[in-house]
This record gives sequence, structure tokens and C-alpha cells, in this order.
Amino acid sequence: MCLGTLQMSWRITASVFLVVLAGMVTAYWNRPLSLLNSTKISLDGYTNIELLGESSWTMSKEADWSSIHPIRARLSSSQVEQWIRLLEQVQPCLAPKGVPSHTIRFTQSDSDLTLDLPVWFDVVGPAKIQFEGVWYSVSSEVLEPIRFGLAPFRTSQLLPLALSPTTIKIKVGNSTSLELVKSSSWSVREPLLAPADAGAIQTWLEAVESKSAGGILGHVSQDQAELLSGLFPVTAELILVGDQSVPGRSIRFGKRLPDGSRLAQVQGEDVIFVVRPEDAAFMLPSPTRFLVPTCITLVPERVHTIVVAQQAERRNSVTGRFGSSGERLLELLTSTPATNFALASSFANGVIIEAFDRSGETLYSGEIQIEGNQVAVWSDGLARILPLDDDLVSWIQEAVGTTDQDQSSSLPPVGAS
Amino acid sequence: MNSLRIGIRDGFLTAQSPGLLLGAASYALLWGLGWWLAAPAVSSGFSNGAPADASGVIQFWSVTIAVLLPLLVLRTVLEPDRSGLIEWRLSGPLRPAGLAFSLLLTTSIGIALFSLPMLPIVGASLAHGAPVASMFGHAVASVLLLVMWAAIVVAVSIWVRSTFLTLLFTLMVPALGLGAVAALPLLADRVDDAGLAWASSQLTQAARQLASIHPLQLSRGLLDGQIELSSLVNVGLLSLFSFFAASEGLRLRAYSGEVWLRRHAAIRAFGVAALAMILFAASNHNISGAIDLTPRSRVQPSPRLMEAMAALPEGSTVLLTLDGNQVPPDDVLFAKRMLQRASEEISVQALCVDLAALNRGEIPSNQIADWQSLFSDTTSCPNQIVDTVSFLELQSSLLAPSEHADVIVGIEESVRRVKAGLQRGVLPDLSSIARQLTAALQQLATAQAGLSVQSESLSMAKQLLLLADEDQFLASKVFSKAGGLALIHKGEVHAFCEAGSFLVQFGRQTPLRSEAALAQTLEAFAGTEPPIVSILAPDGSQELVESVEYELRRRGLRVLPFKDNNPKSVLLVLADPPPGVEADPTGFAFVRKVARAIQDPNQDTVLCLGPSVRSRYDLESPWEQLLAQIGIDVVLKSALGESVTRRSVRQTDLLVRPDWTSDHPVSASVGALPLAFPLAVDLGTDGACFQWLPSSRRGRVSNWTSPHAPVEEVPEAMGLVRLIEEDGRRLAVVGSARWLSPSLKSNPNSLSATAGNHELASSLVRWVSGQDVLGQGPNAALGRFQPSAFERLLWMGLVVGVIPLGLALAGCRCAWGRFR
Repeated sequence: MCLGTLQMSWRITASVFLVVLAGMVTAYWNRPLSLLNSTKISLDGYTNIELLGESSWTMSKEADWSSIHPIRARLSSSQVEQWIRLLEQVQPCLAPKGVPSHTIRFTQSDSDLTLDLPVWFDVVGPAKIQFEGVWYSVSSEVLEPIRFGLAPFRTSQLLPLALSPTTIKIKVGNSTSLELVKSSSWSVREPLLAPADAGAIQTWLEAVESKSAGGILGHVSQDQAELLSGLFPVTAELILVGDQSVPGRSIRFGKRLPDGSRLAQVQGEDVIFVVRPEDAAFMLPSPTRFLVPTCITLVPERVHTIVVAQQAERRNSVTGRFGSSGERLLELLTSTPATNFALASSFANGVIIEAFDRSGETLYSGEIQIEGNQVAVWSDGLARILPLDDDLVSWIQEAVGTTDQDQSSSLPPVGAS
Repeated sequence: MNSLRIGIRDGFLTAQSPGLLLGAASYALLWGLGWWLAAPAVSSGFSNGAPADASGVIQFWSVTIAVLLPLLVLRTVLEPDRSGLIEWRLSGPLRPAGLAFSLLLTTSIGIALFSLPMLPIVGASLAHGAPVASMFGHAVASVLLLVMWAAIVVAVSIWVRSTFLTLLFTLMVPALGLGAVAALPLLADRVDDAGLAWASSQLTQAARQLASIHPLQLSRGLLDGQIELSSLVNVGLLSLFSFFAASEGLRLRAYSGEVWLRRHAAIRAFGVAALAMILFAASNHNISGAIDLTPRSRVQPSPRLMEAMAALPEGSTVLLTLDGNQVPPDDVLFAKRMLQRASEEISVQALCVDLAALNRGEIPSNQIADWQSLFSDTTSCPNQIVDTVSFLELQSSLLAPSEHADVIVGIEESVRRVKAGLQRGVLPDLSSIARQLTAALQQLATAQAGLSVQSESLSMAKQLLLLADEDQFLASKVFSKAGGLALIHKGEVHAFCEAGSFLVQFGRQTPLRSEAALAQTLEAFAGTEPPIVSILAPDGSQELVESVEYELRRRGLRVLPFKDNNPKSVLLVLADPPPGVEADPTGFAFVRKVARAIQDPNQDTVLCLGPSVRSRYDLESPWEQLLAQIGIDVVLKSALGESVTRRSVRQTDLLVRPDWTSDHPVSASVGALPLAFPLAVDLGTDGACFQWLPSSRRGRVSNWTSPHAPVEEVPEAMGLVRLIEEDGRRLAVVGSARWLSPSLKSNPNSLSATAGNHELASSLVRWVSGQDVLGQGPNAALGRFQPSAFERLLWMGLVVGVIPLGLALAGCRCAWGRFR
């Protein structure tokens, strides 16, 4: 009988079991909302975020996020992304009692895809957003920009990264105080024509990119011309021009505040930065920072002969080395950095200094003049002031001295020291 | 009726089985031994001063029964099934549901044997003032859980009809489930370490969902003292459906040959399942709320708190904000209930807000709006700030943009930030707003042309800064950081006390200090004059005096420098060891000073006096004479000599617990606080002296001159504090002052006790100053175990001896009967 019962009832048992299972699953789906799986809303790929409601703003993403309305400002992309991630982490919740006061609209620039998220919130506690008809609660941190605008997201970085300019220009008022141009290599155009030190320019550019403002004074929109002219009475402007494809960037420096810091504004933005005095000075450098500090930029091994006036120093044909004076001269020309620069026209009594390679081709041709315990070496209108040691002084003196007694009479104090 | 009769008869038959009786006897013996031996370790049961609340014991008992139950069901269900008794019963007039009921009843009678050892445990707890509602609630919930489990096990064994499978399902499945709940979070941690964050979150989620199954949630709720109603309902429903399942199983058995059976059974099963779905879903969705079972959530406020509350201005609101992450939930409930109960019959509103819940967004908006409506507009946005903002806007519009564009833009930005800040939180952080405005005003002043306007800006800035510094903007502190207690009257915050002063660290927790702390703050709000204390101590004990002074001030007492003949203030004498008087003029002067104070019939005094050097040598000492004059000479003299030898080791003899059950207000006010209290004098048991439990290590030394003298056990309780009430004054004598010593804090054994000691000192001072209603200690609501030796023997005999022996004898008798 027992066996019979079992044979008869296994189907019933199975169906009862299935029904109970279905019941349990249903009961599970109807569990309190807090126990349901948290859904993740994917907000990747949207390039435009707009807040609609009492207060509104718009931000869009090109390389980085920036605010478009009501103020134009670059935003800290990491903060914006963090905010979006917070918005993605949602927990199902009951619908709010009130009507949502704001809507966040996500759009894509290259397609018509639009996502509207109505947002409801109260003075404290989490926000609730509606997505596909279901309400979710999100962290209260999401509310900060909705309540108080995008101001906390503003970045204090002065110039954004990722730009390799081909022209660097500093304008003070209407005159250009420095212009650096990159063709095959960097060269100085203003205030004089000279080759520029590519390494120095690169270092400077990197340092400029990492500079951030000491603070943000506020923002002034374009149409407030009076305020803007008050903030920037005399403008010093740093302009970085990129390739045709990349738009240039420019930052202008205006009024000096009592503590020495200066106001600055990036072109196309409304934010007024307060830049620390040392940063402002660094971003408006003197041309000498970019001039090549040594007379010759070639490798020293190419130099075979150095001629000063009538006296020449050659490499020894056996050892391939200069004598001691020759070594010093070579060092002076190739590796001693200039302590200062001057215009060649300010020097009158130079003697010729030339360097030749093994085949006799001229590597360098300029003029040299001893000035106190320094020496000025110039060519192409740019003079470099180099430090000089005593032995070389006497050697050059020897080379020069036979021809010019007046000049040698001024030298003894140098030699004595 | 038949089923009832059959169930009871079968139950008694089962209960008469020798195996079951002997099993129950050994269970009772193990349980009794466990309670006796393990109780001190788990600080319940017969450890001195442990809570009488046996809820934890009930919990543990239910777990053991849940394991035993499947074994019992095999005996009550499968055995009759095998013998054909079930089929035979079903062929009679009994309906399947009735048979299922009788099987359940039989099982319950079997279980009842195993509940016998619980009776003395619960009885002892109830006899010592355990919270009845809490214990009853726990017992009911446990019984409900067990009934559900019994129904499930019966249903499983009827359907499965196999010993092995029944045991597998009823022991392994729950064990695996519980193990998973415990192990999954650990596994999730490991997985997270391995870098698989997604898997870790899935595992955590799974553990959370497993743990939220209603029976588990109910068990967890029992531990927390808070039972969710929906869990209760669901467990009830679950037992009902298990019962149906069991009866359906029996029905299939009974009518196994019938043709209509399949369709009928299927329809019924579908119907029941649909009903189950609807009921489960509806109860999950619509039933909310919980029942509080914790004893502290059911406690009554002390008269002191009620008096303090009544002294507050009418129509005012007391708003207590506590950070739930910092304060245990039990204490938040305690404080809430205390304040609300104290304000019940007066026109003062009491609110308690959990800041952690507020920040988590668990508070509905209308409640937040209610709280905001407590504050007037000027409180949440004071006139000074509104005025300053409009002043700034006006003045900046007057500035010339060509010269002061930076100031104009800066002020615009500051005003924008201030306006945003005013909308932040339940109440804005006004101090930081005032500071921002001050900075803007100073900027403005540098740009302004006229001297008069300039000085106006500067004076405004100064005023704002003063306001921000002078705690004028109290309102902003109510909802910030750790919170505190605020008195709100007519929309303004009149007084505020930070939560730090209510909280004290005990061990690893940070609970409320005591109800006394709340009462003290409310008294300060109401402007009740606190008792004035002056401390008198011999030269050289400056450190002790300063530490005691600080602690008493923290407890709301006013401490003034000692002045001769000042009957308004309570004199606290700290003399341990008392200065010698031979050839020591300052010592003698000190004795006279104390004597003058004590002999003054109007001077209220707390005298903390250690044994003097002369008394060790049985010499006359002015200190003992002094005590003789106030009528406690004889006992003190003899006791002092004995205690002196204990002195060198009394650091080890510190923890003496107070009498929890004493009605004396001083005793109740420190109830359940750990106290480090060095033994010094035995003041006898007469008068208003309240008792402290004897420490097992304490004893009498006859020959104190020898360091190796044996310590004789002293069985009787020794008093340490003697309270004397005379016509014009009150006097408290304590046999030592070292219990207040700051060096106790450095002793790890007594670290947690220092707070209790200072509470006792403040209670003594308050009582001596004439305050009869003192606040209650933090655990005053809990009953405490403090049985006498005889009573202890009685309970132990019952648990370990009588019940197991009785069960074993009954078992033997049944076995003998069967054998014959």
C-alpha cells in the first residue's frame, strides 16, 4: 500500500513542490524593496548633462567636462565623473510623496539618445530619482550640484593639459614681449631672432600645465564689460597656439591684489582665478629663459680647431686631445652656460673667435671680449656672458694683447685676482 | 476533540518512554551544570551583579531544542507511521488535519520535558526583578519559532517518510543556511582581496538576502530585543502552511485508492499556494513596525529627571540629538523613552533624533519639516546675517567697477556661497556663514572710500565674528557632528549642551553615562542652582583635589575654594591617609579644621577618611576621636586596625559591586556602574548604611604585624559608606579617599570603574546637600542577580539536582515497569 501511495502521488508531490517553489519565488519578488537587487543605471557615453528646474545648468564633455550655462567654466573631470558614478549607484525605494522639482537630462552629441531622470529631494537625506518608472534613492551627495550649482566642481587648474603648442606668445598691452615659434626647431622671434632652447621650453610648458590657481575669486560673464575692464586694466596675456586642428589657449593676467597675487582669466571662460605672485611671474617669463645658454650646441668632439684672433688651438694629431688651454676654450664654447645675455650691439671691441672641424669647415664664428672676470661671446646679434677662469683669461689676453695695448692695460686687475 | 484526546494520550505515552525521560534528564543535568558553571563567564545567572534578564538563556535554549526537535519528531511521527498506526487512525473518524494536530501536540508534550530545566532559571530571574515584559516577549517569540519549526519538521517527515532524509533536510539544510549566512561575508572579503569586486558584492548581497529570511530575521531580532511585526506574522503564516502541508500529506495517504484524489489534491495545492503567495506578499508589503523587547526601552524615568523637566518653561521643547553610529541603539532608545516619559504629564515636548538615521535618509520629510518648524525664521536665518547680506549687496553696487572690480566679484561670490549655505541641512551652519561674511566685510572695508562707511563695515564684521565665536548660533550645533541636548523655547535655542557630556567610554562601547547626566543638563537649562562643594584635603594632595574638582564640575556641581564656616556649601573632606598629628603642626591644624567643620551642626559633609597611622598601633588618635563624636566610634576603631594590613594589597581588592536592589537613592543612582572601591572601614550595618557585597578575597587579619599572617574569611557583608541624617544636616562617611584617586585611571583593572566612582561621589554630595531625588544609574531598569548563599544553593539544587534526578527516576521507573 505504501508503495502504491508513493506511485500514485509522486506527480502530485512534484506539482505541489513546483507550486510551492513558484509561491516562494513570488513571495521573494514581493519582498520589501530594500531587499531587491540594486539596479545600476549606466550613464557612460553621455556627453551633455542638463539640469532642468528652478535652477538650471548645463555641462558638456569634449576632452574634459566643462560648464556651459549659466557660467562658462572648466570643471574638474574627476569630480564630475565621481558624481556620475554616485548617480549610477541606486537603491530601489518607495515613490516620494511630493512632485520632483528637478530633472536631469542626459544627451549624446552624436545621437538623439536622451535620458531624463526626475529628481526629488528634501532638506536632508538621500535624493530619489525615477528611472523607467521605478523610484530609486541615491546618495545625498548627488544633490550638491543640484542644490548649489556647479561652482564646487570648478577646477583651479589654470591651463589644461594635452596641448603641444607651435607658437607661444606673451603680450603686454598691445606689444608682444616674447614670441617663440616652432618650425623644425624652436626659435625666438621676439624680442630678437635667436634659436631657442627646446628643453627649457618643454620644461616650462610642463610646469605651466601643472600650475593651479590659489583660489577662485568668482565669475564674470562676457557682457559685464565694465567689470572686466576693471579686473583687467592692463592685460598681460599668455597665448599658446596649437596646430590648425587644436584651438589655441590664452590666459590673461589682470589686476594685482594687495597681497601680490594677480587675477587671471582663461579665454572663453567666466571664472576669475587668483594666481599666486610666484606662479604669475613664472607664467610670464623673460626671453632669456628660452635662449640657448651655450655658444655652440654641437658635440665637443666635432671641434678640431679654435682660433681666437691670431692664436689657434688644435687637437693633438696623435692623442686627439686639446692642450689645457684648448680644453678650457672648448669647454667655454660648448658646455659653459651663459650667466646672462645681452645685445651684441652693446659690445664694441671684440676679437674674432672661430671654431673649425677636422675638414676645416667653420662650425662657429663670433666675437669675444673680456669684461672684468667674465667674457662676452656674441654672434648673430646675441651676446652671452660667460664666467671665465684665470688661466684662460691670460691665454685670451695673450691672443688679444699684442694687438691692443689699451685693452690689455685694463686687464691686470683681472689677472691679479 | 478526538484529535486533542489522541494527541494528549499519545503525548503522555511518548513522555513515559524511558529513553526520552533519560534523555531529558541528561539534557537537564547538562543545562543546569552549564548555567551554574558558565554563567559567570557570560555575565548572566549567578555572577555577582549580573543582569537577571534571562533572555539570552532562552535564546540559547531554543537553539538546542531546534536541534533536538527533528529527533523527537522521528519518534512521534515516523514510528507510528512504520507501525501502521497512522493509517489505522485515518481509517477511523479522525480527519487528516486533526491527525496532524494530534501529532504536533504529541511532539509538544515531548518537548515540554526538555523545557523543565528552564523553569528554575526563569523563576530565579523573575524573583530578582528581571524585566517581565522583556522575558515574556522573548519566551513567546521563541515558542512561536519552535512551533513553526515543529510544523515544518512534521510536514517534512510525513512527506519524506524516511529517517535519513528527514534528518538530512531538518538538520543539514538549516545548518548549511546558517553557515552560509555566517561564512558568505567572510568569503566575500577573501574574494574582494583577490580583486574580484563584483563577485564579492554578489556574495555579500546573497548573504544579506539569506539573512533576511523571516525566521532568521526574527531570531536576530530576538538578540537585538526588537522584533519586526512582519517577521512575526510571516513565521505564523509559515507554521500554518506547514501544518496544511502535513495534513495534505496525511490526506493523500488516507485516500490513496480514490480516483478523484489527484485532481482534488492538485486543486487544493494550487489554491493554498496562491493564498500563501498573496498572504506573504501582502504581509511583507503592508506590515511595518517592530516591538521593543529590551528592558531599557521599557524603563521609567527617575523623580529627579521629572522634576528637572517640570522646571523648564512651559511650551518649550527639549531636543536631544545623538549619533547612532557612536551610541548603541539600546541607549538611544533608553534616552528617548526617558525624556518622553518624563515629559508626559507636563507641557514640555521631548524629541530624540538619531543623527545617523537622519543622514541615512530614514526620516520622512514631514518629520523633518516638523523639526524645522520648531525653530523660528530668525533662528535658522538670524537678522544679522540677512542685514549683512543686504548691506554687502548695496555697498558693492556703490563701488566703482573700474577700481574695485575684484572686490565686487569677490563679494558676489561670497554672497552666493552664503545663500547656498543657508539652505544646507535641517539647520544651516551659521558660524561658518558668519565667518565668510566677516571676510567679505573686511574686503569691502578696504575698498570703501568714506571713513564712516568703512568703520561701519568693520564694526559689522566685528559683531559677526563675536557672534560666531560666542556660541550665539547654537541652533547650528543641534544637528551637527555628535549632536547634543537643546532647549528650544518660542522658536529659539535657549541652551545647548554637547553630547560629549552625556557619553562616557565603558570598555569598548560609548553608551550614555546615565540618566543622571540628562537630569543634570535639564537642571542647568532650568536654572536650578547646583549644590556648592568645597574640598578640604591635607597639603600635598593637590593632584587628587584637582581631579575630583574637575570631575564634580563635569557633573554639574559648583566647586568653590574652601572657606571656614560656610554652611551653604557641602564640605568634601579627602583625608587618606590622614596626616599624622605627632610633631606635625600642619597635620594638627588640619585635624582641627576638619573637627570644626564636623562639629558644626549646620555643616553638610562628605567625609572620606582613611585609617590613621596611630590607630594601627592601637593608640589614641584624634581622627578616631573625631568619628566617635559623631557616633560611629566603636565599630570604626576595631575595623580600622584590621583593614590596615590589607592596605598593601588593596589594589587587588578593588572591585566591590554596589547593592543593585537597595532603595536608597545614592545606591540606585550608581546602580550597575562599575565601581572601584577600596575597602577600608567596616562601619557596621546599622543606621542608614547601605551594603556592599563581600568580596571573596576580603577577610579579617588578627595578627597584622606579621606579613605572613593568615587571612580569616569574614562571612558578613561589610559597609563602606555610612549615611547619617541629623536634624540640621546630613553626613556621609566613606572609609577611604583613594577610590577617587586619579591613579586609578592608570590601573587597567579599575579603568572603567573611575566613571562609576565619580558618579558615586557626585551622588553622595547631592544627597548630602539635601537632594533626595537622584537620577538612576544606566542599568537601573535591569534586575540584578544578588542571591544569598542559601538561595543560590536552593536554585542550584533545583537545577542540577532535583530536576535531572526526578526525570532520571521517572525514566528508570518506566523502564522497570516495561521490564516487568
